[in-house]
Amino acid sequence: MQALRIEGVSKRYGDVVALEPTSLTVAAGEFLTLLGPSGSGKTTLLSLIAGLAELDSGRITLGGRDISRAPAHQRGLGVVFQNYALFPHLSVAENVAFGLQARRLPVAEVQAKVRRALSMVRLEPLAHRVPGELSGGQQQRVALARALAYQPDIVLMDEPLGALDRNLREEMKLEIARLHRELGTSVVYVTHDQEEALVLSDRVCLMNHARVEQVAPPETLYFHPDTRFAAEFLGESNLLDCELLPAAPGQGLRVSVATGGLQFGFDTPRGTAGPALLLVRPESIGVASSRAAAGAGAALLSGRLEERTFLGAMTRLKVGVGGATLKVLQRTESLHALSELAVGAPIDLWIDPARCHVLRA
Amino acid sequence: MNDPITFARRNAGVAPALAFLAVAFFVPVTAILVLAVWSPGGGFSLAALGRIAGTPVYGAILRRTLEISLWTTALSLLGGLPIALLIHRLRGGARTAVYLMVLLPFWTSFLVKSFAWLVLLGKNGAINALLTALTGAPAGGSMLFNLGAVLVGMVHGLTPFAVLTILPVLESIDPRLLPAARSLGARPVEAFVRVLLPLAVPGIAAAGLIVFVTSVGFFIVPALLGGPRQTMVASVIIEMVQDLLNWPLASAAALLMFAVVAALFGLYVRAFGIETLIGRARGGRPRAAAGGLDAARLGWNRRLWSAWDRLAVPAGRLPGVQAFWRAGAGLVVAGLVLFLVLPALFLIPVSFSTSGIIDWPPRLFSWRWYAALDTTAWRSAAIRSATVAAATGALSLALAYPAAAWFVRRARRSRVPVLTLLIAPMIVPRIIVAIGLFYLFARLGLVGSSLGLVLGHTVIAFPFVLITMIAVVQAYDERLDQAAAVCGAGTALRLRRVTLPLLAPGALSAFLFAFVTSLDELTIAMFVTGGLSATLPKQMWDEALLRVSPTLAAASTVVFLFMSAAVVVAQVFRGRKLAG
Repeated sequence: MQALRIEGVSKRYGDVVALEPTSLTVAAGEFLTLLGPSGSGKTTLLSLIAGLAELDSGRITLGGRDISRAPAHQRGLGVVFQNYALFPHLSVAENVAFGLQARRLPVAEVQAKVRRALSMVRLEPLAHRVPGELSGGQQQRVALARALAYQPDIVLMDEPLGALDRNLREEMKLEIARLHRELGTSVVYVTHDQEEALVLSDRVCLMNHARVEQVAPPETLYFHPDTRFAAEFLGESNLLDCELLPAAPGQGLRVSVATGGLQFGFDTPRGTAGPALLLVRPESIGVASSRAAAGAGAALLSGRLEERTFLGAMTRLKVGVGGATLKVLQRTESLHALSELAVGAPIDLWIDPARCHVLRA
Repeated sequence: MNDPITFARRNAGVAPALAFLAVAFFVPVTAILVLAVWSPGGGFSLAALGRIAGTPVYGAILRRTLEISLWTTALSLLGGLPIALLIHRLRGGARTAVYLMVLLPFWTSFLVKSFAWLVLLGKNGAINALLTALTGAPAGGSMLFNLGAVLVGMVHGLTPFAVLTILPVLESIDPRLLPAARSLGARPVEAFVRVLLPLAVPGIAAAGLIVFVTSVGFFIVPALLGGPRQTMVASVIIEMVQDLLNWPLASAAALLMFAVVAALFGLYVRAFGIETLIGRARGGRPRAAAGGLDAARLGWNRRLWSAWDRLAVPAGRLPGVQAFWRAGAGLVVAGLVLFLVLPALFLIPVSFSTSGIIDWPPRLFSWRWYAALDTTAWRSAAIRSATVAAATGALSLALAYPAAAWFVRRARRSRVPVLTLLIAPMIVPRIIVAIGLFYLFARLGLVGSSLGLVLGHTVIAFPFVLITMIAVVQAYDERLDQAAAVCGAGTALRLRRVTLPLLAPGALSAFLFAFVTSLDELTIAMFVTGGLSATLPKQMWDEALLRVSPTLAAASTVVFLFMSAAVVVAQVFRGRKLAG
C-alpha cells in the first residue's frame, strides 16, 4: 500500500478555475472523501488523480513515483465512475476481467481473480449476463468488482451511489465500507452527500469554490469546523456572531454573544481576541424541562416557541430569542412534559459552553 | 386490443403511411418481382430466370455488379469511419466545419459529382494538367471509362452516406467508456479496439448495408465514368425495359438483385435488430452463450495484445514515431475530407469557360453556358423539379409526422414489424422501385404526370423523413403540451405557441431532406417522365448522353449552389433547435 501525495495541483478550463492550487495527502489504506457542493472542484481533483484530465500545475506522486504526466492506463489506479461506465457489449465477467487482461496476466490468474472479485461483491451467479440485464445495484457491484479485481493501491470513486434509490444506497454504503475494511485499499471517494461522507470516511476533505475548506476526521469536521462554510454545510447549525474579549490575565478569553436581543457569554481557554463565530448545534441546546442536566456554566436564555416540527424520534423547534431564531433539536420523548406547549408560548433554553465551538469569523 | 375502435384510434397515426406505401411501394415492387416467374398471359415460368442464368453476358454483369458494389462498400467504410471518428472527436467550430464538408457532398447530386469527375479525370482534365505541371512530362491518356474511375466516382458519392450513418452510433456511445478502459490499464489502441470499435459495429454494418444497397442498383456513375466492361445490372434493366420492352427479363434481373439485398438485410437484422438502422442502438445486446471467460478466448486475447506490447509499443517509443504516426493519420483524414469536398468545386470555373470542350485549366471568362440554360427545356425542367420537390416534401412530412408520433408514443408489440415496413423503401434498390412504378403507372396512365413523380419520390424520401421525425418527436417533451393545457391554453393556442415552434425546426430539416432528395432523383424520373415533362436531373442526364459540354457544368453549378444554400439553412435551423 502506498501513499498518494498531491502538491499544489491546479486546473482551469478556459477562464473558469476548476481547481485552485491544492495539496492533500492520502495515507496508505485511508478512506478519504472529497465532499462539497456541485462545482466545488471535487470531481476535477478526482479526474486529475485518475489522469482523465491534465493538470496545469503541481505534481501528484503515488508511493514516491511521480505520476503527474503519466497517461491514465499507466497509473495503476482503480476508478468507479458515476453511472458506472460498464462496457455494454461485454459480460459481467468480461468487464471484471478487462483490467486484468490489460495487465497481460496469465489466463488462469485472470479467471481466478475474476471469480474472487465477483464473489467479493456476491455476483458470481450473474457472471454471464451483460450490464443491460442488471439492476442499478447489481451494476454498481460490477463497477466495484471491476475496479478492485486487479488490487490497485488506490481506488477512486466518483459519486458511486448517486444513481441508486435510498434503500439501495444504504446497503451499498455498508458494502463499500466492508470492502474497504477487508481489502485495506486506499479510497478517494467523491460525494455531495454528507451522510455518506460521515459514515464512510477516515477523513473528509471539504471543498468549496474550487478549493479545500478543511481536511479532518468526520467528528472533528462536525464539532470543530474551521470555517463558516464547513459549519453550515455539515448538519444543521446555529451560527452566532460573537466577540472574543480578553478576560482576566492568564485566564483565556471571554466569549460575548450579542446578536439582536440575544445576549450571553462564557469563558473559553483558547482563541485570539476579536470578532468570531459561535457554533451551537441544534442538538446541543437544552430546553428548560431538562435543566437539571445543565452544567454549572450553562447560559440560560428565555425565548418564544415559533415553530415545532415532529420528525419521529426527534422533534425540531424554532425558538425566537431576542431578535434571533435558534434551531433546537430534541428527542421527542424528552419533550414529553412540553407536549402541551403552544406556538407563541414562552420557553427557556440553556446552552452548555462545553458543547459550543468558536471559529474565526 | 380486442376493441376495434380503440385499436383503430390508437393506430390511426400510422395508417396513412402504411396505406400509401402499400399502394406506391409494396404493390408495384411485388408486382415487378412476381413478373419474373409469373405473367398474366403466360402463367408460371422460370424461362426468364433461366435465360439470365444461361446467358454468359448476364452472368458476367451480375458478378461485376456484385464486385463493384462490394469494393465500393469496403472502400466507403474504410474512408468513412476515420472521418466519422474525426467529427466525433472534434468540438465547436472545427466540428461544424468538417461536418459541413461531409454534408455538402452528401447533398450534392450524383450527376453533379459524376460530372466533376469527368472534369478531373479526363484526358485534358485537372489531374492530368496537375501532373504535367509537376513533372513537365506531356499528359497521359484519359483516366476515364475504366473500373478505377467507376470506383472513385462511387466511393466519392457514397462515403458521405457511410459517415452520416456511422456518426450517430458513435455519438450514442457513452463518452466515459474510453476513459474507463484507460483507467483499467488499457493502452489507447487497445481501448479503441476492445471498446469503441465493437460498440460502433452496428453503425458500421448499417452504413455498409445502405452503401451496398445503393451501389447495387446504381447506374449513373458506371454509365458516365465507366466503359462497357463496367456495365452494371441497373443499366441492363433500364435497357431491357426501355429498349427491348422485355419485362420478364428485367423482372428476373430485379429479382436476383432483390434476393441479394434481402439476404444481406436479413443478416443485418438478425445480428443488430432493425432499430439500429434508424440510429437507435440497443443498449447492450443479451448474449446468452458468449461472455464467459473460457481459457481459449482469454489466451487468444492475451497473445494478441502481448504481441502488440512487444512490437508496437516499443516502436512507439522510438523518437519521432508517434509524431510521424499522428501527422500521417492527420494527413490521411484531411485527404479523405478534401477528397469528398473538392471535386464538385472544379465544375464552377469550367462553367465560365469560353471553350466548348471541357478541359483544364478552362479558358475564362464567359457567361455563354449560363445563357445556354435559358431555354424552354431547362426552364420548364427547373420549374417542374421545384414543384415536384415541394410536393414531395409536403407529402412525406404529412405521412411521416403522424407515423413518427405513433412509433414513439403508441407503438407496442407491432413496432418492429411496422418499422420494417415503413423503412423498407430504404433497403430496396431504387431501380426496382422505379420499374415497379413504371409498370404500375403505365396501367394507370400516370406516366409523364407530376403526380406519378411525387408519389415515386415520396416513396424514396419517406424512410429518411420518418427517421428524422422520430428523432424530432422523441426530443419533444409531451409534458410541455400538458403544462400549457394546465395553464389554460386551448388546443389552437397550444399548437401555435408550444407544439409548432418546438417541432418546426426539425420538421423543416426533414422537409428539406425530402425536397433535395426529389430534386436529385433520376432513377424514377428516367421512367416516369417523358421528353417534355423532364425534371432537372433528367434534362441533365439527356444532355450528358448527347454531349458533355460546359452547359452541364453551368447547370451543375446552379444546382450545387442551391443545394449548398439548402444545407446551410437546414444546419442553421438544426442549430437553433439544439440551442432551444
